[in-house]
Amino acid sequence: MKNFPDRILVFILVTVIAMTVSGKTITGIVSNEDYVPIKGVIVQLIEGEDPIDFMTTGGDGKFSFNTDTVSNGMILSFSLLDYESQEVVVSEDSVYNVVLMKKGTDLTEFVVRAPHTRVKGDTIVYDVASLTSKSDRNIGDIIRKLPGVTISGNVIYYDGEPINRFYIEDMNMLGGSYSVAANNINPEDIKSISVYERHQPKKVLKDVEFTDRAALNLTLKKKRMLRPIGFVKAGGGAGDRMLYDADVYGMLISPTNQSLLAAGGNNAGKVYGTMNETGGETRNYNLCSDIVNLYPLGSASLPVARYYNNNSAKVNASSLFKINRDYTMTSRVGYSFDKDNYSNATYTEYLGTGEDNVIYSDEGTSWFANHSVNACINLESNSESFYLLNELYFQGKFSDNDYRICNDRTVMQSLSNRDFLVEDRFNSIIRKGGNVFDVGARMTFSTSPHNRMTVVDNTSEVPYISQILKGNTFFSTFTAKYTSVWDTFSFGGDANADISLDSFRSDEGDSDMFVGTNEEHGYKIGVFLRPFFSFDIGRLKWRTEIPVSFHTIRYKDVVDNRIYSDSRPYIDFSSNLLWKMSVYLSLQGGFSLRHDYGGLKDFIDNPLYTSYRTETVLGTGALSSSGSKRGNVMLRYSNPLNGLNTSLRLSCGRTDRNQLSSSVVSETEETVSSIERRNRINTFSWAIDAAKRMHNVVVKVSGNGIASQREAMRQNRDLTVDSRFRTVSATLLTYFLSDRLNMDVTAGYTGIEQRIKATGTKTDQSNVNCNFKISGFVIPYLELYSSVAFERSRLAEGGNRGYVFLDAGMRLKKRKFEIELKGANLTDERVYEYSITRSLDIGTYRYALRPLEVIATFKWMF
Amino acid sequence: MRRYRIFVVSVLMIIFAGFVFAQEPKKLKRLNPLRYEIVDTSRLVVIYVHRTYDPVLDVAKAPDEMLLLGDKFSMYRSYGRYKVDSLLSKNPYMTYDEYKRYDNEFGGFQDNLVKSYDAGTLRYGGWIFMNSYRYTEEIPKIQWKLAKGTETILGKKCRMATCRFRGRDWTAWYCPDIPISEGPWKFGGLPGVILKMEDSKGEHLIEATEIRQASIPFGYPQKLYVKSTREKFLKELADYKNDPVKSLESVGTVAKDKEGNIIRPSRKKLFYNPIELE
Repeated sequence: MKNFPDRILVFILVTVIAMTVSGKTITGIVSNEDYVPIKGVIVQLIEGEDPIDFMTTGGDGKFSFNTDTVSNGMILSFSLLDYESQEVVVSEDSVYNVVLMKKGTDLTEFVVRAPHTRVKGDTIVYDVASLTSKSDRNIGDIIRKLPGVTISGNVIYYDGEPINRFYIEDMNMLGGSYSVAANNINPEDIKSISVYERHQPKKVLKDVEFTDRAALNLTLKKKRMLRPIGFVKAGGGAGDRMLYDADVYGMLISPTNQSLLAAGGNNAGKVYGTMNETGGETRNYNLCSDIVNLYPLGSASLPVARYYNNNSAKVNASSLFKINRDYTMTSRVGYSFDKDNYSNATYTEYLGTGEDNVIYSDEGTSWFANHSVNACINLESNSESFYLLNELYFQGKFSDNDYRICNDRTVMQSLSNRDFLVEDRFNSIIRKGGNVFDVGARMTFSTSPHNRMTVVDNTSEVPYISQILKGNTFFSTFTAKYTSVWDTFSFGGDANADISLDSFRSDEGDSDMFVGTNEEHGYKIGVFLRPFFSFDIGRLKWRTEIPVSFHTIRYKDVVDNRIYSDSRPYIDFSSNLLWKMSVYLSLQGGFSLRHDYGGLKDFIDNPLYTSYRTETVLGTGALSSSGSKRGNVMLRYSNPLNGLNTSLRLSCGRTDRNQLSSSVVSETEETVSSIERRNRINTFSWAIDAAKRMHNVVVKVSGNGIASQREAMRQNRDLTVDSRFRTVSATLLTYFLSDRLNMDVTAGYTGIEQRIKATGTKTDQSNVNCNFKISGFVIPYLELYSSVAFERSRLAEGGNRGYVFLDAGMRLKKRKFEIELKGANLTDERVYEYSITRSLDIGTYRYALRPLEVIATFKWMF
Repeated sequence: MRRYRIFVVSVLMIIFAGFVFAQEPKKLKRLNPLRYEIVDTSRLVVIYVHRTYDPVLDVAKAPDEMLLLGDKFSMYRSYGRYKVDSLLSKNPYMTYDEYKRYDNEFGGFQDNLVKSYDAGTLRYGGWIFMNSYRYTEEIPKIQWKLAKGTETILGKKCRMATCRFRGRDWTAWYCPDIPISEGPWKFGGLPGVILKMEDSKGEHLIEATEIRQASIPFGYPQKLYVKSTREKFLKELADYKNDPVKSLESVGTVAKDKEGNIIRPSRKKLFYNPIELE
């Protein structure tokens, strides 16, 4: 302590020396041209590029920096709106009197508008006008720019999960058929798109049952309400044949009524068959409907527009009537017709067959003629205290497909399928205070009265395969559920009975090849009790369910006059947690234990044909069952105002089964069956998504992978198969030069590795694709665009094969009219070849492509 | 006693209004737009989105707010409320249903603040339950620390500055290219207009979404005010938002059911997380 005064003296001395050496005080007055001092001038002291101090002048125009950081070489910057800015280099002087010259400020240079986003609780509202660029054709183009949204096929995903509703003006006219609207609505008709995160579509269950799926809502511009909106488009062109393309789309939206009509036809590559019902409910089809392979010659990894020679037509009509505040009635009808053909060649290497793998190759042409019709009518009441739904649904599919296959002989396979499904779904929920009562029923009748396969070859006029399948299923389920909601805690349970009456018959008909007849019928009953409890403590939501079930079956094999019956109970478990760690960060995780129980398929133990060369035994004569344990976790960071959305999902699981897939292959045929043996599948999957929207750039990166280990049998040899599948993709969307130049780059990589331990076989397939699209407006109404698609595939026999597809066009858009001239496959690629690992096989496929084609269309928007 | 009278008058007004609209729900009724004592005309307008997160309720709200920049005055107010006022001034005979619809769609907070550069004062107009309050204070002299970070907002390069203001640590991004020493709320005093502000807890984020050139006359709202001080207003607002039932009961206002039993809503706290904690 006795040195303390000395230390103070030393400190003062050092400080004074430091101030004398580097510090200085500078002052001055800022005035205008008339030497009148100016108030409010911003004076900054800048070192290099960084401001280190600043102040504003007072009424006398004076400024003063009394800091010890002022040194020679620094810059004094003077700025004020309506005056020319000035900069002065600090020198030895200590007084800087500055005169600022008046100037006319063009305030428009400051005007700028950002993508407009509003957030209210779990709702994010995006302003469509600020997200729309001139090259966007439909509202789907805007939706795919939103953070967290991806569109795959006709399904919209948010955070990796399919959306559960697509509303227009908060009304659910479209159900699962929303792609009709997403692909046709003009962005100029829409004011905003809202994303409802964690959306519970039944209002009565809000805060009772939480969901991790989102919904989208389109809000129309006010002046687009109460009047028809849509377009008419027609065009023609040429390639190897004359081309046509026509579309009509119309929509009328009012507060109490919504109507939509879409119709179209083309032979330009747009196939409609898959557009009728997407993202809809899961339905119970009879066993026949998916036994026979509709694509025995494979399908390409390219868009079908590149290789299908099609003639397609469709019509969709939907309407919604709002009966009163809560009740709505909706009807939807859809019909599509596709008559397609394509040619290809396949080269299949069957792995794990021994030292020399079995190889099979052929060439073929497929002709498809598919008619599909569906209709739905429902009545729904959706209020905070009461929910009611009754929905009647009908679906019919008629397909007549022919396949000509050439190898050492010419084989003609014909399929003729007729499948029908009728379903009625009922659900009623009442919420009274803290009590929620829920009852539901679903009845489905699915029939395939005519499912025929005929195969003939050039050596005989008599079919060597003639098979007729018939199947019926009547499925009904009844549910009663009770929930008691307390302040932060709710509990309850549901009782559920599933009854399924099934019948199946396969006949060999008139053929040389006798494989036997199957005829089974019987029933399966499952009774479930699912008690649950859940906590909702603000940021933390936790729900646990313990389903207890009892299953019983009784099937009769008419051919062998045998009865199969079995009964068994199961206890399952699932627990899910959602923790909103902060306003931006959330963690979601869950664990489940689940059992699955087989059915009629397990007792179909005589072989039948699933393609011209594949003989399949569906069951073993014993009931199949499996038990799976699965855990998953998702970490999500989302800041919509900054346009940032990221998520990481991890999942692992184990499934124990009592049936093992077995196959025997030869150079002429393949026999697939199952044997009764315990086996296990281990899986681990990951997925990562990141999206960032900046002023005129949207960047999206996503990747996912699955690693699995499973057991299989081939040529009566036990195999352990390790598979690794991974895919990474990145998308970059940019809008430059005031929206005059747009670029869209998507790059993706897919890799599949497979290792079979017993035979030491290892395969490694990969595919890289990159799509680059650029469009620009050379004059305000004329868009020139071009897209380049690059595909590179590693082939099974070694080496890589790369392809470049070039499409280009021009579009003249003025007011309500649009004329477009488009050229497809300008590089005139005629053959596409790629390899893919499927199950235990590597297939190499070679497809004949559509040629260079040019088509011109005229569009009128109303 | 004064507060008591105000609340009694307020409750009577609600009952009267409810009676009028219950009897004649469809009747056209002239709704008077709020009048202003015009003091300046804006040259530049900045629209912000202000995200506020209430960690107790775990709810976030993000209304639009606007900064009107004039030569001698500036005003900060709800952009939604401005839109409702504009619609009302164009169509004073809109029905109450229409007004409610617009109010639900656009209406945000009703507070406003006007800065007078010559007087060096700031007048704050606030709202608690049915009453308007007003207080005046000096324009805060915020001790900013310039920092090295930059960020591009609305395509403009902004520089970073930090400060501690009335209980929160803030990071601001200001645009030196727009030499106006203003910003959202009570913030300002940087060498450029502030385009983004964020507090250290992530509970407030104010970010510009639009800068536009617009000549909009603005000034002090003309309505009956209770004169207050900043401290008193903040305390009363906190009392009301944190426990509105208790706050109303303390002045003798209670809600009753048909049998005369006092109704006490289970959810006590209203959405509230103020910018100023001190």
